[in-house]
Amino acid sequence: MSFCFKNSLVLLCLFATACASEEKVKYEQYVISGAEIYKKNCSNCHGLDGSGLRNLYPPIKGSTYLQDKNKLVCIIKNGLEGPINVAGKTYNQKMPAAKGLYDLDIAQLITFLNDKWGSSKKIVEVGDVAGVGCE
Amino acid sequence: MKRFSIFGLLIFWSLAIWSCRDSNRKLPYIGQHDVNEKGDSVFHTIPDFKFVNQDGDTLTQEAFKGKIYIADFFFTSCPTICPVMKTQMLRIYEKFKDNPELGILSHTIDPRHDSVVVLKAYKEKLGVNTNQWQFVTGEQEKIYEIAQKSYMVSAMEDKEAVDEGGFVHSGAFVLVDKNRNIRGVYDGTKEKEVNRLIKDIELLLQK
Ligand code: HEC
Repeated sequence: MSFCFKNSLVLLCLFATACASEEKVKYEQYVISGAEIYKKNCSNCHGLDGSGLRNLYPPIKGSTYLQDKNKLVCIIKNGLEGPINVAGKTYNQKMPAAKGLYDLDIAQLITFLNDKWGSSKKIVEVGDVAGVGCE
Repeated sequence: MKRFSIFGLLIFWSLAIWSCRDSNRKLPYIGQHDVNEKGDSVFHTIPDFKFVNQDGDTLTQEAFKGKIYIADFFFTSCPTICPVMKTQMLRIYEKFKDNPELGILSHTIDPRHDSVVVLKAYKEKLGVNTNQWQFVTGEQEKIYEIAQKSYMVSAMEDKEAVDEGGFVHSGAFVLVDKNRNIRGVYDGTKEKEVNRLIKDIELLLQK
């Protein structure tokens, strides 16, 4: 009886840790895939280090735009136009929509952006992206 | 004694290699070579041109008289390689800033969109505030012709190339010497290639 109890406890513990690391593994995977997507679709303009290019392309690093996930999703899906202010500087250049990215790609991309340059280390799920309505 | 002479030979040999390393390196002449009536070989030469720069002024080959220059082709709304090219060109610009013997000439391949005003704003946003780097626009046909026939790089409109912003073009930087001969073509999207270009510019400037 006590043998059985002990054993199931151990098993439970094992499951618990396995689950925790599974979450972590998924997060890591999102960050790695997101980095690839960033490199391919965004780094040309915003730079591999996220610092932008002079007064032409705004930085992602340190940008307050990272704090608003919904807005970020729409910027990626639709692009952006018109004057904006990032880190005290004005930018006004057209950003094209990132065509060909699925919601999963965008979820991974935003997870990466937050991990690297934002303050949140929480995973962004596909559902979080799919649920956003952009006009 | 014998060991000594081998040692000496080694020194001599390494000196010889060292001396023909960089300063004696010669850049090739790129393009078709012809032979003129005197029997001398003539190299492929960039012909006279006439475009309009970011200030609305006419710009011709005269602007680069007595200079070597680097030419490239881009457009301001380019979503793909142009920002990378401009990042790399900025490295060259910063490195040779205020050197009167080096110029940079960027042609837009989208003159319908890239007007004088657009080019001026683009130049300013890049932080380029000297005449050393010129941005030009002009007749589309003329620009494509000089790209393909003279600088020997690809540049054309292609409405199918949606992901590339409607144009296909190479990311090449073309190095032109004081006699308007092409001395090198480099991939302007690759840092390593641009390092090689910087070395080649230094070599040409020495001569
Ligand atoms: C062709 C160049 C280009 C590409 C590629 C590009 N952007 Fe942008 N991006 C811009 C420009 C230009 C702006 C400023 C738009 C404006 O002036 O309204 C901008 C603005 C932004 C902003 C808001 C301002 C800031 O810096 O925080 C974010 C966030 C952003 N981009 C993210 C991305 C992401 C993510 C990708 C990849 C999917 C991407 N961009 C791809 C050019 C680009």
